[in-house]
Amino acid sequence: MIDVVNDAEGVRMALEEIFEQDYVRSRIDRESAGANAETRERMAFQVPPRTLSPGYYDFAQHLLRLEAQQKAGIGFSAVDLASFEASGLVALGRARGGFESRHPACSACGARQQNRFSVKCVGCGVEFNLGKK
Amino acid sequence: MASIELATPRIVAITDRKKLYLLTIGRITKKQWLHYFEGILSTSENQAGKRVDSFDSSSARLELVEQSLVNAKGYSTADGGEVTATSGWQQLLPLSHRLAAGNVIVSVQRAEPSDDDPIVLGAEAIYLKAIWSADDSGQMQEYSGLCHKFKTPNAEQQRRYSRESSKSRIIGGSRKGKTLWLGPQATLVELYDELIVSVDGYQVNGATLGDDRDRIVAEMDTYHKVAAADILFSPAAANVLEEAE
Repeated sequence: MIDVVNDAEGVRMALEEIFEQDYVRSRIDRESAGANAETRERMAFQVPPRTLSPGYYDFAQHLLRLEAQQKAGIGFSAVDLASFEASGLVALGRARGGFESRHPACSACGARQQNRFSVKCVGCGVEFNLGKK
Repeated sequence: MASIELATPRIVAITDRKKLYLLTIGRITKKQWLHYFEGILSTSENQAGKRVDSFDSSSARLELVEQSLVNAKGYSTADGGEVTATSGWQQLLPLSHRLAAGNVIVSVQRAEPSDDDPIVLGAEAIYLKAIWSADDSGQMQEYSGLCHKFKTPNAEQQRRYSRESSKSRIIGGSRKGKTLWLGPQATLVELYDELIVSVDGYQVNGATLGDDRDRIVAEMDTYHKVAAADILFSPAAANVLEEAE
């Protein structure tokens, strides 16, 4: 039996899947503006499926809420945080780091790119200099 | 308005084959209720990429009924003696009757407010309706307008609820395994005790509980505490108008 809150690696994987799903959903929203319902439904299949047991995603959502509270300046001391929540927040940092590395932000408009090798920003169209001298 | 009497045993009336049977259920303690919640099997799993949830509380409910039954009327015994004189009489009652009693003791639902007053900021009123006990004529009565007024939960209390409701264990592997939810009920009871301000529709030995916080904490039925606190922490349904074709 796996205790989800203590399986930091499983939680990290769930968080990465949530980030990827959100990324693909927002890309579909952008690209399907004006499309009919049938096209939107077809495009929804591009959202990668969840591969882990549901418990991982609920705990991941709890960690995202905790992080949102921290970012909003709602202070809580380390005493209020369970040790598994502290480990979970570390896993969240690693998952976010992995996601941001796979989808770097455009330095001009901040839009996340499809991958690290995009030559043109999906948001503002600015061309990237991919290490060319 | 009729009030639920918390101190006296509950009578569950069942009509079966034109005969009336009365099951008396003693006051269920907090410990018994928490044991019941631990016995609930609430699971989720991925099936072809979709989340499938399942919930089974029937075994735990049956156990609780058998533990808390104190009397039964309307039944006969082989030797013509008292029902309760037979060893293990609780398990000898018809299964359908025990299940019916189980359904009654957990028959608590969200109800619409019994007043038209707008919500007061900083205070939250939760309304419940529940079946509690049969009246003298053997009719089960539904009590509506059971009101629990709370202080608004603070961020720390919301965090505790979120933490407990997201706890789970996986049976089997992390991918194909079933998620077994541990349930936030014990925490909901704690949060209820911290936040409750007053109640309407409940009494103990004829005296209403009203706004006597200490008595509410000590006397309120644990299942009603969980039901009210669960609604307090659940999101209300937004008013959504469906898109016209």
